[in-house]
Amino acid sequence: MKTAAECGLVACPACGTITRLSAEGLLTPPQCQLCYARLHSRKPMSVQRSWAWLLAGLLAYIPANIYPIMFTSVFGDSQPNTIFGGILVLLELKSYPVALVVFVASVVVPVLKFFAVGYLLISIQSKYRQRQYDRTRLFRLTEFIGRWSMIDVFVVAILAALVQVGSVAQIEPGVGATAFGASVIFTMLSAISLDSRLIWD
Amino acid sequence: MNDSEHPPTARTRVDTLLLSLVACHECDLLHEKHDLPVGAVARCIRCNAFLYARKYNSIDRTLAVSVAALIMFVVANSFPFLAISVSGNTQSISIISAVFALSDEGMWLLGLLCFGFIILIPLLRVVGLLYILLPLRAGKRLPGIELVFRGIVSLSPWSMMEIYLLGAIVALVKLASMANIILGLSFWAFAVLNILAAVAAQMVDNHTLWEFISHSRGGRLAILSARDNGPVDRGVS
Repeated sequence: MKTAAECGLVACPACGTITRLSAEGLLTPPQCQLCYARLHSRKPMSVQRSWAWLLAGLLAYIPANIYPIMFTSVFGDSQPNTIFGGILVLLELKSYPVALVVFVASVVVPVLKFFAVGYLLISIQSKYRQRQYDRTRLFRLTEFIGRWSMIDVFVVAILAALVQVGSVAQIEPGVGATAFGASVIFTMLSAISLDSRLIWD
Repeated sequence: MNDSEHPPTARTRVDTLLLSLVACHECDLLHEKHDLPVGAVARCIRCNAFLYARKYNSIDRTLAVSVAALIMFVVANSFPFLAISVSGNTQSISIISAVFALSDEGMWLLGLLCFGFIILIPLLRVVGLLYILLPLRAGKRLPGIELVFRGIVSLSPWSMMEIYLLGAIVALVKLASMANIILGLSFWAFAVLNILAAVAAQMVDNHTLWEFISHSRGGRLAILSARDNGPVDRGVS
């Protein structure tokens, strides 16, 4: 049981081809001989980059919840809607499954993601050796579900486009939607920058 | 490999590629590649991550599904997506309307990102796959295949069509009590497109796709081994 790094080998991040790092004729920085992708044994500055994106995502999540993600006006009466308010509206409509989907995608997933990536980064930095398999699974889950948070941004975009029925009803997007979208993108970049192989090193 | 015939000092570039090995992309553990039976999946023995798989007629079926997906993509973007009617007023949108709705309100950055996530990136991935596979199937190799392959791999987390579809359903539930909802032709085409994308993702993995590309005639592997005239350890192939 040896890792590629321990054998002086590196796997191409795109095509998976294994290259010997001491090989002659390799460019600096090394490039995959078959698909020309940049090779690195571990993602460069993985922990720092991941922290930076995570903090950016956390900062963007604050205005995302404070400012309205959209304004609903019915017969000229304009109402601001926050993310949390939108979930309450769905509960009032008794659409419990959909309320649950939105709640999970826009509240549970982002918050869990901040804790999960933060925990993984701290565990890597403190060279914690236990529960590596569980932490890899946590990483996999974080990577998989993170993008689903974008659902709220798409809901706002669709409602804003669709509900333009003159004076009767109108929906306009709010700055909270931009902040929320930025938060989701930043945390996705945080998970992408995090190299899960560091958990096992 | 016989080292007396090929002393280490004369190691060629191809020899440095260890094609019979695979490293887990999640924990870096090295594994020897084996010839899998059809339908089998190889996983990392340490972290259980997906390593590679062998599917029945993977490339041809992916090609067929990709052509179907491209047609569905054109249909989904050519007709009305959703419409509502409230007290006699009807408003109809296409998929791209959501992008304009954001940019018209001054949120052009978010609009641009939505355009990328639901239209441009999914389209680039399908067209890229066809750009690689269609000519290779006919024995031709178009330039820049490596770049296109790397693009398909790195863009995959940013293709969000399935999330947009779920977003549309959530939006409809919110509106269902106050307006009449009409699902357009594009809505169904977009739903089918999502199914096709999921099927394609099941049929081929990056590893299989790359093996097909690199082992095809005129590929990097063939070029390197012809130039170096050295032995190529082709692993499972």
